[in-house]
Parts: sequence; structure tokens; C-alpha cells
Amino acid sequence: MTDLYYMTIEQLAPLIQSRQLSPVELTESILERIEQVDSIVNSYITVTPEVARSQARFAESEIMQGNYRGPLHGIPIAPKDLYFTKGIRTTFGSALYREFVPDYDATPVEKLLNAGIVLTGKVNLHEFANGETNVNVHYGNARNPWNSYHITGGSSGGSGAAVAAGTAIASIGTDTAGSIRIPSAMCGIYGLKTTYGRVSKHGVKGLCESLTCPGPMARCVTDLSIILQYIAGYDPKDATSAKARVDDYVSYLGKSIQGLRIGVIPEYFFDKANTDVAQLVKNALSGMESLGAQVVEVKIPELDMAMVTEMMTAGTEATVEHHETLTSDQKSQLQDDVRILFETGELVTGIQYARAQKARRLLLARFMEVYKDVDIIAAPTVPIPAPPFIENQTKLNLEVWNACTPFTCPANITGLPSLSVPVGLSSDRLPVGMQFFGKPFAEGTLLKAAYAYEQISPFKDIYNIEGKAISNSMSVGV
Amino acid sequence: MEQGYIEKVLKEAGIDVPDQDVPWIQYMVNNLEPIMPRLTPPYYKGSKIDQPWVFELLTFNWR
Repeated sequence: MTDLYYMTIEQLAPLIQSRQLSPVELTESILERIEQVDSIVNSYITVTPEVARSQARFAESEIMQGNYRGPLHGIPIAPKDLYFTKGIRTTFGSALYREFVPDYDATPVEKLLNAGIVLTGKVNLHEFANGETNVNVHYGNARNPWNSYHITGGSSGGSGAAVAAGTAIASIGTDTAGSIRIPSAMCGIYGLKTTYGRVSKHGVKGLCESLTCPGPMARCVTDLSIILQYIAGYDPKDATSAKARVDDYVSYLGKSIQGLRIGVIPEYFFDKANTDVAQLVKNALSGMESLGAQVVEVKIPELDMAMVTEMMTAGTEATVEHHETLTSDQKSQLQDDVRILFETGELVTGIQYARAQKARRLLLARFMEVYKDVDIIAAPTVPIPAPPFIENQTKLNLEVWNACTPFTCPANITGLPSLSVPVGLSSDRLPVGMQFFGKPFAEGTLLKAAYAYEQISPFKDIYNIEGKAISNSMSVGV
Repeated sequence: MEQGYIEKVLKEAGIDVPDQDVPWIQYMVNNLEPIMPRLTPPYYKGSKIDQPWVFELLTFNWR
């Protein structure tokens, strides 16, 4: 039998509902797993065993009284540590907020708590989500469970590490330039960057107001669907929240992808990817063709503008948020690579920022043109598997940023949804991911495609099969 | 981008940039400079750039 900590919500929920498994037992399994491996993977900044045990006991009593709330009831979930949690410290991965305790819950957290989750703690991230390695000098680096000498990717690296290491059943992250999808790909899990406005950002200290999107990270597509179902929806407390209808996401799972048209853009994505990565993604697409999907080449020349558009937008908006820190003594408490990115953002001119906003509209318009011919677009999530830690954290972060951001940022600057699925292991036995881009608010289509692929993926049930191997790979790295 | 220019601009913004940061700022800027012209035509030419929905100061959202 699979260890409890490596089971999915899809597997656990029926056991909890039918009272074959107590949330208390499940929570103890997760806390024990944290005790066993988190000194190595460092997925958590704050573990909350007392809160978790109390919530688990309450969930158990509710269920025993016949008050089962739904598939998240009694499930241990750990949000990225930039979601406000009432009464629980929320650091944003920064030394500046080491003692900050919010007095309210972020809307996505509030919705998950109402669904009955157990909060096992707050997971690691790159400081202020401003980086893609999850090197963190304040709280320690998150390490990749597949090889702890390698990074998790970031900025939601603690979420990636926790879900892959079994220190949480699932997590919620945020994505400004790829921060959900990069660690999902590098840690071998599933991650969904939602459409801008789909999930409320109230109480979420995102990196950039017009780019950041919350979303779920989990070990299977069904779990993504379940979590999204609870966190999606309009929130009057968030001025950028959309009033778009919330789909029944789980209903998309298991539907045929016969005739689904998948666009690919070889020259922008595949030609620049590492050989292992490109081949594994091509294999995955062949598998989808065997299920009846059609893979067709499309062109989006405006993607050439993507990286500079992201940098002009993210650089400016992140720096606006942190300008007062940069101009005060507090600057010395920022880690080097984060401070340097903020300083670089100060150099963006008003003209560049304004042009970048035009470029976003143009790129979105081109995507919408292409979506007249295809349903989704597929690409490697990132061009490389997780690189190893090196001594110079600034060099590492800027190199990963320059390599990975061009692949992931098109979804951020257009606001479109994008879902990363694991497609196999590189020759170094590190996970590789494939991402689908979708139409606005068409998360259901992405989930349908990902679920269909998951059924034939070499990664299906990987944590049942490789769980022990992953545990053995957790050795202390740099 | 020259070190003196970076220091001057950041100084005017009230930021004392540490010496060690400058080469990395230059690294990032140098990576962007070759692609910076992509923020201007040719893509804008003949596009719908003059239509009202391409309004650069509109905060990005679906409304």
C-alpha cells in the first residue's frame, strides 16, 4: 500500500468520507514525514503541528457526526508563505517579515479552510517570490527531493519540494513569471497557473499586481481540479478579480481528447530546449496523438517580445512595491540576487513600461488569433532540468531566470492559463515538464488534456513506484 | 550600460547601489538590450495598435 503521505486527494477523500481513514492519522503521517525529511528538503518555513492536530481532530469529529464537507475535508495542505494566514506568521521568505502575523486569511486560504483542510504550515519560497531558484539565505534553500544537490526551481520551490517529498498532500503557489510551473516541472508534480483574475489575490503578497496569479500544485490532475474548484471565483475584495463563471472542473476529467487540436511552436520552444527535455515533450505529444489529438505547428512571432515585456513589467511593478525598502537601511536585509533584481527594475523607464503594456495586448491578440485554429498550445515548461546548486547564488538565479522565463512568461504577460505536467525523467533522473497554454478561463480544457495525458504518462503513480527511491535520494547537498 | 550611469540613476532615486551589485545589473541589462528593440515595430506596424483596446496605461485585466 502507498504510504499515506504519498497518496493523493483523489485517493484519500473516499477513505476519509467512509471513515476508513481519520484526518488525525493522515495528519500525523504528514507531520512524521516532515520530521523525517524536511531537515534535508527544507520545504517549510513554518510548521504548525498544534494548529494541524487541532484542525484534524475537529475534522474527524465533524465527519464522525456525519458532517462531511467534501473532498478537501481533513486533507493536509500547506500554502506558499506569501498567503496571509490569520494568527500564523507569514514571512514572504524575507527576514524583514520574520515576525509578521496577519490578522486575516487570504481569500484562497479562507476558502480552503472552509472546505475543511488541515494547515500543516507555510512552505518555502524565493524571497518575496522574486527569483526562480528558491535559494533563500534567510530560511535555507528548498532542495529538490529527486536530488537534493539540485534546486527546486522557484519561486514556489517549497510547494514543489513539499508535494514531491510527501511533506504535504498539495499546496497553493503563485506565478508571476513561471513560479508555479517552474518548480512543478523541476520537482515532477502538476501545477496550474490560472487565468489572471480567476483566483482572488486578496491577502496574497504577489510579486507584481498585473502579472501574479495564484494556483494549485499537486501530485495528480484530479487534485488540481478539486483545489481549483474551491479557490476559483470572483472576490469583491480583489479589484482585479474576474466575474467569469466558475466551471465544474472535475467534470472535464476523463473526457475524450479525440480531435483536440494542440498547437506547437518549434522555433521558439523546442529548438531552444535541452535535448532530453525536447525529446520527452515530443514523446508526450506523440502519446496524445495516439489518444486522438492533432498536433499542428503554429506561429506566434510576437513571442520575441515576451521576455523583454515581462522584464519591463515585472521589474517596474516589483520595484514599485519594494522601493521604500531599497531606499532605506532595510535594503541590507534583502538577499543579494533579490536586491539586484529590484535595483535593475528601478532602471526601467516610463516609456519602456508603457510599451510593454502595448506589447502584452498585441501578444494576447495573436494568441487569440491562433486559438481560432487550435484548442491549446503545448511546449516544454522550461528548457532545462533542475540545475545543481552553485556557490554564487546571484549567478545561479540570473542564469535560471534568463533560461526559464522566456518559456513561462508568455502566460503571465497575456494573463492566459497554463498547466505543467510531468512527462518523464532526464538522463540525470531529474523530472521534466510539459506545459499547455489555454484560452482565457478555459482551465477545464487544460485539465481535460492533462488528465488524458496523465493516464498514459510514465509519471502516473510515480510516487507509488519511486517513493522509496525519492526518499533515498534525499541527502544533504550544498 | 555604464557603471556611472547606473549609479547616477539609482542615486537620484534615493538608492545607494553597492559596488558589487553593478556588474550583475549590467549582466541583466546587457541580456535585455539586444531584444529591447522588440518592444517597438515591426510588430506594431499594421497592427491594431491604434485601436482603443490597446491602451498602454490600462491596468491589465479582463474587464
